[in-house]
Amino acid sequence: MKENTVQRTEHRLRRLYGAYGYQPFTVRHFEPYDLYARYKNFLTCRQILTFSDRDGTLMALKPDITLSVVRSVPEDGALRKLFYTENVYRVLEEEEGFREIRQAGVECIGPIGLYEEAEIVLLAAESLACVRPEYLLDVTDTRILHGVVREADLDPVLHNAVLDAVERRNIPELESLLSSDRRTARTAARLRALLESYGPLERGIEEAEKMELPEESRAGLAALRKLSGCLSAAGVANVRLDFSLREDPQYYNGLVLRGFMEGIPEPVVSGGRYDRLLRSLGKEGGAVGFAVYLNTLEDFGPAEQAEPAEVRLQSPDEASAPRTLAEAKRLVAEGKTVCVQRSAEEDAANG
Amino acid sequence: MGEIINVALPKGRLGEAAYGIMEKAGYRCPGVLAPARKLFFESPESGVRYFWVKPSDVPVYVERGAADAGIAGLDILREHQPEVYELVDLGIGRCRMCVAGPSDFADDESRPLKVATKFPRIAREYYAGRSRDIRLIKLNGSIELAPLLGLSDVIVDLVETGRTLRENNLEVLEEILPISARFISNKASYKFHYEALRRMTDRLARLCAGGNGEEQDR
Repeated sequence: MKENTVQRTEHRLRRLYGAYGYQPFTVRHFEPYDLYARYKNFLTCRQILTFSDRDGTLMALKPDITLSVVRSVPEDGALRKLFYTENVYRVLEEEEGFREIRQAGVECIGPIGLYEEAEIVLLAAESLACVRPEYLLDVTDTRILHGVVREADLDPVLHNAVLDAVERRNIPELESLLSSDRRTARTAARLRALLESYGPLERGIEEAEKMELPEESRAGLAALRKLSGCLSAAGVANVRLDFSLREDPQYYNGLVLRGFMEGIPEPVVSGGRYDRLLRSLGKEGGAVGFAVYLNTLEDFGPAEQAEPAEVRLQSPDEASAPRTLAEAKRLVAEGKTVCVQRSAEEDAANG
Repeated sequence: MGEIINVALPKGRLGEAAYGIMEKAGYRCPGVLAPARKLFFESPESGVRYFWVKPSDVPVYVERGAADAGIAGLDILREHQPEVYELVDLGIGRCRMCVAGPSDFADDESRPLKVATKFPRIAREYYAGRSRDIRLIKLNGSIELAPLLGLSDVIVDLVETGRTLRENNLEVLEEILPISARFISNKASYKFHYEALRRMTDRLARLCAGGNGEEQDR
């Protein structure tokens, strides 16, 4: 029988990640609630499904995989390349309940350099291409945006309001928030120019390099320049630069990526560099990875028709059951799909 | 056929004014304003397809990609916080999100403030920012009635001219947020139809900066 989109994609992704030397990783269904409570800002969804263990420990159905992966990786300085296909459990406000979400992903943990980051971006692009060729992979380096906003030295409330406006591409609001003096007006002009430079990675970098940017932003831009060189050499297509991408700086540093597919209104891939999460868990080294939201493909993909079996056999009476069973086995051995069904007349006769 | 951008318009006067701006920006579509039972209005020449939806549903259509773009009030955007881009302030449908109450209202800070509103998230966030404990009463209409009948101490609601408040012996106590209509787009659509949506955004922004967005009562 035909696999559905999620199953088919999952198999392709497992093959892809395996081919690049990533090892399968399985996490437990449950983790102590404390783990998620301590790192709740890292989670996409902060409401967690909990229950009490037999010893009274409050446990949680995992809302996230990365935390479990990072926690279980030994700290021995080795580079670990891992992939997973797992369910996570999240509250979806509009559905007023919990939902089981199928997710695949890769995590590269240890001494991370240019190659490892570039490989992750390549795998993110290939993951999208596994589903359909019309994809876009948006990247940025968080230092570029944060450098510009930090230089304005705003109070924390205004700082966050500015980042929110950038994330919504809300230029009128940005200009209104930063209209107090010439210094902040310059920040608004820079942010506007960054937002308007959305486009192919190489072109976006060239445009940003012409701008007068603070040192932190230039460091981020230099890192993207090197990354772009690797991606060009490997022929990774459809990568764009989007400075509006944002991740929590408490956990993320550097590279951020989001993947989109034509006809699907939400990101299908999301990830980035998260050394700071490692550090907050008391671990050294770097980490970079991404998740593929398989359920989004199911939610927004076209409805699929079940594929009928190639051979249909009529349901036997008891006398012919041995012969029909042998026939079904022979056909399956020949590589055919078989469906043995009861006839309507027989069902009626049997009441 | 060329690229077509799906645009969700809010039913009512705000939507009609919004279409007026779209038309001035070069996105004309005959028949849109004619009273009819038709659901879609398409203009291949302008590269747009319009459809009318309930104003509070516009962000839902846009967020879930049924519309590439749409026009929604900032009140709805701040209340529902959809994952969309807010690209242009169209400068129409201007009003204010306010706290209103009886003109002689004095807040008794020894007990939670009873707040009646159609906008629970906006009200909750506003009072959380001031560390004021409140009891929210979610209503769907005739909000002004709540303090008059003792259902609430104050209301959080949209105020245009303030006439309805005055007629009911209520007044604006605090202003929370200035409101106007915004041109929004789906995040993925913005990327896949970048040239077309960027052109639309630029034309609308230029037009509205030039003062073509007129005052609009809601």
